[in-house]
Amino acid sequence: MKNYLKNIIAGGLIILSISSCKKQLEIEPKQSISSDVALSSPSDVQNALTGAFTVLASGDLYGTNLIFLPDIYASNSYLNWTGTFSTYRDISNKSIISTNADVLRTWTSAYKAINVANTVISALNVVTDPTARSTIEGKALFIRGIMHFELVRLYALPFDATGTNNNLGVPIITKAVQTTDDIVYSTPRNTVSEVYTAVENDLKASITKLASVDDKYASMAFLARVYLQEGKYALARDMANDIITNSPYSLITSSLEAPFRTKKSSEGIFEIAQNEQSNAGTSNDGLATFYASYQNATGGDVGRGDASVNINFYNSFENGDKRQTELIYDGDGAKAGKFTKKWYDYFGNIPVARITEQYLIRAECNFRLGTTIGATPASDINTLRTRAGLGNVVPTLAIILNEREKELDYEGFRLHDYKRTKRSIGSFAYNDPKLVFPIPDRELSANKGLVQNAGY
Amino acid sequence: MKKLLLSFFLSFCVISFAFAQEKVITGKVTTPNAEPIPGASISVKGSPSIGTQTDAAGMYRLSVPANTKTLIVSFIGYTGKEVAVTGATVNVSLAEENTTLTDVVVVAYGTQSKRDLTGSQARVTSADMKDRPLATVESALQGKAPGVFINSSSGKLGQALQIRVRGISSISANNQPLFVIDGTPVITDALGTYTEPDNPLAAINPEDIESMEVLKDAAAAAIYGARASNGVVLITTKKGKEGKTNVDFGYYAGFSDPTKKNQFLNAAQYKQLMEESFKNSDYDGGSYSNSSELWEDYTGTTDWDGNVDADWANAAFRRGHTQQYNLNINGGDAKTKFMLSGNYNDNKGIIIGNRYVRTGGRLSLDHTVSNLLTVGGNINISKVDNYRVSNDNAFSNPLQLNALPPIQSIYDASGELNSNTVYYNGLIDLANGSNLSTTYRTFATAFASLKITPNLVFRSEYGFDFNSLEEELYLGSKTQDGGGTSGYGSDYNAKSINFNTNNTLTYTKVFNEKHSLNVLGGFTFQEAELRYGTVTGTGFPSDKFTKIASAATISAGSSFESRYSFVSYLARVNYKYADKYLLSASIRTDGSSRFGSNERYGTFPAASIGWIASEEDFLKSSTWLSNLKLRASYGLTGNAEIGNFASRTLYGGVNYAGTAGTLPNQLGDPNLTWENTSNFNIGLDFGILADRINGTVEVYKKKTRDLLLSVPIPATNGFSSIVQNIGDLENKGLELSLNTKNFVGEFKWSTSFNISFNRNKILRLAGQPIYPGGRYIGRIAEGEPYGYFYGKAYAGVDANNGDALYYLDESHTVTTNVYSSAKDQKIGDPNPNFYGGFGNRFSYKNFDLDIQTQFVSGNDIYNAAGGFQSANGDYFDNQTIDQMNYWTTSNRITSIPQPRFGASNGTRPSSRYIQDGSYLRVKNVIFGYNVPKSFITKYKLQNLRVYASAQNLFTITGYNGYDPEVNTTFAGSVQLGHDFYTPPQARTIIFGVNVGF
Repeated sequence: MKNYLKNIIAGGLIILSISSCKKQLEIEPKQSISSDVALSSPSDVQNALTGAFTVLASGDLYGTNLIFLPDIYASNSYLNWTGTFSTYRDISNKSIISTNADVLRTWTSAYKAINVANTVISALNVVTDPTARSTIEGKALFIRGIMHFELVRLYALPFDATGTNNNLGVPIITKAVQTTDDIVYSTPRNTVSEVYTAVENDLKASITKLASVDDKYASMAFLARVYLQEGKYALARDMANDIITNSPYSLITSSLEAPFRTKKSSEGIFEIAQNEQSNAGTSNDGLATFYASYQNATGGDVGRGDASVNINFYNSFENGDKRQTELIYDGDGAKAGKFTKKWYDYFGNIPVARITEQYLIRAECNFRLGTTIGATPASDINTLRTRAGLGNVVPTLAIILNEREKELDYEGFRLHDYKRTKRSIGSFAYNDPKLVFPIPDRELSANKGLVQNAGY
Repeated sequence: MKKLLLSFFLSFCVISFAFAQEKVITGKVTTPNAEPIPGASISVKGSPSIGTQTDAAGMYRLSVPANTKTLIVSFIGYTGKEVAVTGATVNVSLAEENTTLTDVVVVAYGTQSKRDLTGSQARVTSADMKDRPLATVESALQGKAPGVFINSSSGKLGQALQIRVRGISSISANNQPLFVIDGTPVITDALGTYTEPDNPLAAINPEDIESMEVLKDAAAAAIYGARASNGVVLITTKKGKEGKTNVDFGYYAGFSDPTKKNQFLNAAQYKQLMEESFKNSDYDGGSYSNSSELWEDYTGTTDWDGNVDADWANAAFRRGHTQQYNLNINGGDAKTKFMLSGNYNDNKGIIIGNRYVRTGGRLSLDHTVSNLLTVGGNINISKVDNYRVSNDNAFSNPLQLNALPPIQSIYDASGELNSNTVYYNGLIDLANGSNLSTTYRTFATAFASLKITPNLVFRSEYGFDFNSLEEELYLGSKTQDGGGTSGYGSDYNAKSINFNTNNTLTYTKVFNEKHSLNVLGGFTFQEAELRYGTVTGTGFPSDKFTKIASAATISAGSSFESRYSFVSYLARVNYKYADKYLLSASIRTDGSSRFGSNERYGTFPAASIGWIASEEDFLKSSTWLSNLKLRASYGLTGNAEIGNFASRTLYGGVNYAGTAGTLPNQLGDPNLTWENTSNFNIGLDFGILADRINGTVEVYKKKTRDLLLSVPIPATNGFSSIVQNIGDLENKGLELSLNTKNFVGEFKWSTSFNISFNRNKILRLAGQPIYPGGRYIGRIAEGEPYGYFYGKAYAGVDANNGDALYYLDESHTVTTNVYSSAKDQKIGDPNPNFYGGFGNRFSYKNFDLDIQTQFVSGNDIYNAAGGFQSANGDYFDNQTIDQMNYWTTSNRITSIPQPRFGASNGTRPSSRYIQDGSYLRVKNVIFGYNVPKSFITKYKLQNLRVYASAQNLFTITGYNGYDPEVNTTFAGSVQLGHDFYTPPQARTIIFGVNVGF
């Protein structure tokens, strides 16, 4: 009888413990939220849009690579890479292999930003306020447009104003992937021409959607850049003129350094925002990490000093050019040598589109077209030269392009400008396949629809 | 009060007096060789409370009731005896236990006679861990347990070992076995922030471990269900023993050195090579007129023209020191047994800045409440201070100092560490920073066992495993990572909280003397939680301030919480007929929060049979065959070691310079479910000549289906991978172990040998091959073993011009000097063909010698640092000495291409940097001397042993790098057999003493 009783107690204990544990399998994540609740209110959609900007700000994109790669790829007599990262060294040497990690990460993150933009666009129906909805859509289109633009410039042969541009570009992605059912396993490359058309359409739509806010000038600045790359000089000129005339952005004449030191400076049409808590990196990534080499107040080294100004480029400045004397310094940090002062502060904003560029676009296009819309080329060029402490000149195309090179050095223009103007980079012709990134190896094996670029 | 004391005293007298009226038995307990056995237990049959123990001379004296007929005499390692009381003197000779047959081994949720096992399990006991400077307890399995492959992966202290039981059975899910300590599955996942995982098991004192059982096949392991595919390691801790209280004290101290140092160029050689390299690149394409100019512009120093010859390559190493104190007190009576232990281990590593200090204490208690109820438990508290070294891929990794040119000085003119070096001088991190990981681990278990009827036992176990880790890092204003921000500090606090309960009912009965039945049913529940908080700060007033409280800017802060749970039901039946025929079946149903609600439960059955042929009449009479057993098992196991929420599409919070946003961080497959492994095992156990020769042969086949795979998808989808159940892989193999007692007389010699063969093959990957690429060459593809090497096949040097050549295709007939034209192909395999161990133990009188070797054969190693350090002067990195044999017009026949600065002439990933990683290592040598009893009894000692012990004494290998036991872990799990500035193992020599009081 005694044992019988114990049996009941023991059995009861087991049943009790079993029944009380059923609900213990229901555990919700605390760190993240499920996708079904992530895009259910207007503020959720706004948050997702902000998320896309964090992707743009990463070192894979504007935080480092989209600024750095076009310069290091065109490093000849311009930039010395003395760092240890062989991925950058290979890019500098134009001897890239298709597994290059920097080639991969920029591709991957650009499409990640595109997908977030597409996701935001697909979730717009929960945003009921028409103004808010329009603004969010305009910014998402902006992101999608500029990402395709950056990709096609790096991963495809250059756009040729006189050609058909039927070369392979990059895949155009406009559909959001939100569940496993949305995954596309084979996506072919669109042609260069198709990509540029899509970029133009996204940026034009973005400008329309952002008509009532200043953010439209970012889209316009990029569209001007796109037109210039396509050799559509009249369109580029008019867009640049519109920005210079109507936007609240203006040249800072008091200091050449200010656009890079001051957050949201009057020159910065589109900046990547950074601060101590949110930046591209301070030791293995980030523009200041690679470009800076100096000692701070407490004697610590700032930057790795991996990317220094080539002496030939340094010597190519005119005497007294403040862009040389004020924006290039002798490194006394991790390495000695000449370094640009544009990328000096780990936590500063990164100006991606400055008003300065628009003056150069207007000047070049006016000159090429023999027009003086907004201002004469001489006026625009000499405005910039005056700021740099130089005397006036009568511009030629070579002078304008040289001003552009000096004004925008190390800001991610060189490769694209040389290709656009069909100038050789070192011994590489502007359309040499070696000046085009490979399609990342992992993409080729994951996506059977892709074709590798020539030379890889 | 005085009266009370007096009455106590009197009552004791009365009791003693009362016993004195009974009879007194004296005697001596000896071995068959007439050596005394101290500490043997003698008790009266039927009255276990009347008992004593033998003294150091093996003598005993016991007062017993007059009617005592029989004494029970026992001692661990000897076969117990019942002896009849024939007079006042009873001498007993105990025979050494025939361990192979009567051993009781720990199995899942219980114990079982080894003879009755139908599953496959390997065992290591405390004897295999004794007198060895084990860095972590599971390393004792290396070379000892067939089917268990262990790679220490790095010489850094406190890092996780790679343990693979019968091959790699998963691609993306974890491949480490499940560790179960005293019934509680413990958390072995790294808690820290390092890309190279820390090892929570290292916090356990090896001296507290009684045995480790590795459950390998389904019969043994499937009752652990969804977590059994990688094998299960059951760790049983030491318990108190009935009898006199023993006090054992152990101490050892010793030193350690790297198993090997590598030779790099001196200043003269370096300048010769680099001069050649600069010249052949026309001084950077004509930019400079000589090496000195080039050097100055690139490095910003004039070191080219100096006369420094610095030994950077050895700056990472030092002579390590290790010492350990261990105290163990145990004893008890028939009702209550206890063990109390304390341990202090201080290991100053061979790599500068690396040190591991472990302090711990443990209490174990068992108490019999009544004939029906037994309760017990133990509590173990330990603290670990781990002074860590940066991951292999960091410039501050001391091993990367070997990249620094010998013409640059270590210290500058002012005596400070030189900060103007080509690569970061990692010594600055040590001088101007601190980096300490502190672990507090509490592990406690409690159990109650209730005998409901004589045949039915209910057992309830509770386990609590709490692990807390604090990482405190400070990098001062002179360091690379702290310099730019006037100091950088971070403080990371993580807690792992793991609770487990097992509740089982066991029914045991023998019917009609021939049918033996054991039935187990149970329920278990586990919940584990990981939380951490971290904060980093920059901008410190000076390097005198290292706490974040002093930081001007709080640069980052975060917190984390994640949980998972398992609810499981299990059952097992063991049936034995006539001591010959064995049948066993088990089933477990696991439910886990990790899977979607549709796929939440998984069921894992197993069945096995055994036939003890030697018990059959036709073999029983055999004089030479003492044991022959055949067994077979089949069953299913699972693997659930993926992220806690892998089945969901999740959005995380992000910060865009002060604006909050969200970002999708993973795409989840809602149909995600368990990875399933079918296990088939056949085993043969044999014993010849009274088991003087015994061994086991086993063959197995494991097939894993529905792999939990991180499937690469085109990144154009916005995500680059998704965890899905895709793909199959297979492991099949053969294991052989043989133990012999070659001499058993006064001179004893026994030998143990084991060898394991495993073949791994990926059968199906519905997606694409997994090939991270970059600097690494590991790949996963259908029809090939896990992580095989894939890339360009190096074809040597063109004798005419010094160009590096690669084979154009797999036929290896045509070569090309264009790297990208060469076809990617299979160029190696990091998986060993076979591995195992070979041990010999000798003893003569009071001396004993134990030599354990361990070997691995047929595995390839890829030196991912080769493109930097054996790169024919491609860049500024100092080079290995073999690079001096570079191509020149007068040295045309060589495998080292012509040095060309920055030209990547043969330096890209290729088979050039693959080598055979086979090795044979003398893992442990222990030479001991037990001081004779006659001598130590004068000092009231029970035993006294002194010994010298060496670990990794020497290694025979063809591998040119530091150490062939290598696998850098930061590059990800696909990259097996990769070496990347990975520190070598330590060769440790210790001298120790064990004293028993």
